[in-house]
Amino acid sequence: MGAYETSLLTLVAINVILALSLNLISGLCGQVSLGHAAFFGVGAYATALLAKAGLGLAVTLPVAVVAAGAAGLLVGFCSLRVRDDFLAIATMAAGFLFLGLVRTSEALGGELGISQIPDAGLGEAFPWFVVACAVLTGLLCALVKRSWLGFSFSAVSADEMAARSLGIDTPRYKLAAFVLGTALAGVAGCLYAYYLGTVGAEAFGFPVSVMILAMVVIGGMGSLWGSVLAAALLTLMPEWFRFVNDYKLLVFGLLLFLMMRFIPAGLLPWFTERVQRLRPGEAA
Amino acid sequence: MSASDLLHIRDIGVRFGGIVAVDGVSFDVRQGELVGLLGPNGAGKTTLLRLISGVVRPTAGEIHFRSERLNALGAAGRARRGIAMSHQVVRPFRNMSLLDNVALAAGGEITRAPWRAMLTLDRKAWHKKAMTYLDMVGIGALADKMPNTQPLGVLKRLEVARALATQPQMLLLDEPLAGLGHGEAVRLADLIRELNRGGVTIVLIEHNLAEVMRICPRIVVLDNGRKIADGRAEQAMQDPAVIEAYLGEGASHAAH
Repeated sequence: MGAYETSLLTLVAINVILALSLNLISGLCGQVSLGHAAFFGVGAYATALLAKAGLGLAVTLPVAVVAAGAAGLLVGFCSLRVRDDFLAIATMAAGFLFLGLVRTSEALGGELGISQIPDAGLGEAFPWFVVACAVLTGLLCALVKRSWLGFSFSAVSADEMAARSLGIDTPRYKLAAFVLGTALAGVAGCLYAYYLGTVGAEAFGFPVSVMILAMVVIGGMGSLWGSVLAAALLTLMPEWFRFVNDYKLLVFGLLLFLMMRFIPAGLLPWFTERVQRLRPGEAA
Repeated sequence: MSASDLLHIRDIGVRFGGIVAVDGVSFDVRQGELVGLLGPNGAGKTTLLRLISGVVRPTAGEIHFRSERLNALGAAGRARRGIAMSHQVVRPFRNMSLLDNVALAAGGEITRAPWRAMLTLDRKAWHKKAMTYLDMVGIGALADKMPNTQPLGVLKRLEVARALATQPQMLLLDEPLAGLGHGEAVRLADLIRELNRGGVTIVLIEHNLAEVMRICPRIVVLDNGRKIADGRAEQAMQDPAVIEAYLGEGASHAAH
């Protein structure tokens, strides 16, 4: 594999982690977040600062996870207890707040960001480490989905009031989903900082949040493999078609709209349903 | 408040904006009772039931359950203390099978804390438990079906099964018979009476007066948010205030 392919693979793996992490919040638990890139950014900036201070991956990765999760806890705590649709607005606001903070802070490099981040010290193995992290994230999400946590999440996403009447403390569950998802976005942020060697505000803006949401919706809300496939597709598409790169927000926004309008279940669930219909014997 | 009172309500009231939905209602429910809550449309019956289940918070008065003050406690907390409610409009989780719907209700001790829920993978034991409740309401054969494919009668029973699976001290049923055919209604009413004889305290709202009079020894009647009658079913229904509130709407029902 050449340097270009390895680099692309790393980027795909990072985006897979991002898509899976938002899928946990939006797909499994039904809470729409429009500011996921900010938590990705918290992980990336935490890593950049610590790595520049001479600390290694063994410190930066856990700190990035905790920092992003703590930011998630804060935002979630302030918004999840209020109203159902409030989270989308609150997370969007949190995203812009994060950008404003980063852009004006001397310590975070302002508009220029932080560059010359030392590498992770894994040499040639770094891309594989990123892939391993993506696989572990996938396994964790699969565990959550199979467990009673995922079971309760699906109840919360289907009907919050009914879930409450069964004794499920829905605000706590929504917060759990939000903290888990944002902490995983911190993992992606840490890996991204090492991958690029530089972090800047524009990598964590609103268009990136929309892109992550597009991955989840296009793959199919709640479908883990769907998120993985859509993340790969939406990462590779701008590489293959230059025009997509130039009009990212437009293309992803349009895709998001078309999916919601015509295939709300998402590509993978839609596709598997077609396949099952072709083989009626197995479906029954 | 006597020792046998399970639920104790004093002067409870709630207003939505300028509208008073429930106004100064007081009543007690003793352990093991089966109480019918009646009244014309808009009398405040559903609101009163929701005040008990915690979906609506009172703006006045006191509500106690097993001597514990409930006023500030949310719906989830009350469910954990043993108050279960089945909704008037069915609210199944449409993304899971009937069996899973009930299993989730039965697993209340697991879902109490998210971290515990995450560490529990096994559903078999709970599916088995859920099956007994589905059988109890007579829809065991449909366990693997999705709610969207099922008629209202089945979903009504699912509501009851799900509420029962939380192993409640007190069951609140909001129009459990509404929308059912005659035969179905009689069967579900029989089931409710059986459950009550098995020890579950039940308060139910129902417009099907014939069935209410058949199974409920005691009724409470509301009109315009106030309690206008409370007592043995036959006596309460002969109360002039009740007849007046009901005339036209219920009189023809009662004649059946």
